[in-house]
Amino acid sequence: MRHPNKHASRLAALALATALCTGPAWSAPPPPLSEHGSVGLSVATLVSTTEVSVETLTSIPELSVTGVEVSAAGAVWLVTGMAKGSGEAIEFSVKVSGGASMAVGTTLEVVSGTAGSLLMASGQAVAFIPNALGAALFYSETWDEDRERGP
Amino acid sequence: MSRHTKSATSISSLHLRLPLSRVRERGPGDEGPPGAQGRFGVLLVLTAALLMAQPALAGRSCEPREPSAQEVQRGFETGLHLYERLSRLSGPWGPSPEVVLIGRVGSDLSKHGLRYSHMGFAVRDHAQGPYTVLHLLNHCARSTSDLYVQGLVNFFLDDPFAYDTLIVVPAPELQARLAERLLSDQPKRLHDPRYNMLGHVRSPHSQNSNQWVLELVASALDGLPTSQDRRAVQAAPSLDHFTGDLIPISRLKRLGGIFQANVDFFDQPLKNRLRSRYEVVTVRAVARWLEDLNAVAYQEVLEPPFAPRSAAPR
Repeated sequence: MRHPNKHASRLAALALATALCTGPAWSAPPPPLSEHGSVGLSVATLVSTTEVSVETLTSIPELSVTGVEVSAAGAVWLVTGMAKGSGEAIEFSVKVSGGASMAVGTTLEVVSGTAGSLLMASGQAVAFIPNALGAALFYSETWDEDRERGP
Repeated sequence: MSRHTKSATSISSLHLRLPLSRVRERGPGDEGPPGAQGRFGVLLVLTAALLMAQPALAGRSCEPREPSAQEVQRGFETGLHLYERLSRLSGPWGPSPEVVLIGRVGSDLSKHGLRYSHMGFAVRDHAQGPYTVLHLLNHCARSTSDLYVQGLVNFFLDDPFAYDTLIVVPAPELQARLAERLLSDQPKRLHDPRYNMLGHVRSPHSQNSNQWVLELVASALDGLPTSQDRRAVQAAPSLDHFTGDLIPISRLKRLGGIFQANVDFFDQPLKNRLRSRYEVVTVRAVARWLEDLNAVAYQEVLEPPFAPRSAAPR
């Protein structure tokens, strides 16, 4: 014999389960009160280096990509730009460790700040070249790696 | 005190196997034994819990995402800005502090009246570089952590919610003690890799980022031998004066949190769980405790070197 309250019980359970599934309070976990870290691993792919000085780089408002060489370690972009004032064309390379694709002929805008220069392509930042002090403050190791390496 | 002995992942697997195997054992129209309707209800609720817990297991705040170059630039500029501030921050300790505690706004905790979510030490004379940051980070969406040695720039490259920084300069004598300890093996000795976001000051079973900072400072304040283990340091007299921040978390949210590997509610005293108010070692609580003990020489909020990204309340 069916228990008269059985269907009601099942419906109530189903309703509760549905409510729990749809309620935002249920789906939201507690807030992060302390933190995880990506420890800058993916960030490193955007940090680039170049052989020209920061002063030279900041004097060039725009660069044109004249060559691209991709390797397992990243890519090297050959760029050329006109220094403000002197009107002299300067050619140099930018090493990027990430896999950002770059086409020959792309124009890169150089936006310089206190920590280095940002390279932008069509409004999209594609690389950041830190200055010497910025680069000196950029490193990441676990405690054990740091101890193994020694001073 | 009862405690979880399984990780959140294994708990969810258990829930998945148990109810579904019972479903398969029952044929259509089978009413089951007495009390089956109760189990049916439990099944539905557990299934709902499991379904809703999936995103949390995947690590809601740890989704793999490529940072933008602007974020990288902001991280560099903030790190450099902090370096410049610290290296010229003169006071009774000299031309620049030897050790400071720094807090970042990793996430928006304004709902809890909190601003800074994560704290670490910055050590001026470290072999790696000036003002090297020593801090504890949780492995994304896992129940473990590690200690990291990072540049000031890296401290701001984990996609923070905002870029203002809390600087707490300890009293000169405490700075000297901390500098000695931070260059010794004690930081590693006091690290417990079992991570719990809701770290309770008295829990010997887990540790959050701010708790590791707290315990190291307590050890230095009380002049405990650096050879002492974590349990001994947790009995430091100075910690008797520590009170964590009470964070209300509703029972529904708690159910969601059960499935997060880096959250363990059972590390909290029963009375906190019953009241749904959890006493957590937060940045604010650590700073307040140091102030109460007159161990802070100077404190400031360093504004970001660019227009703030958010206008969340402080």
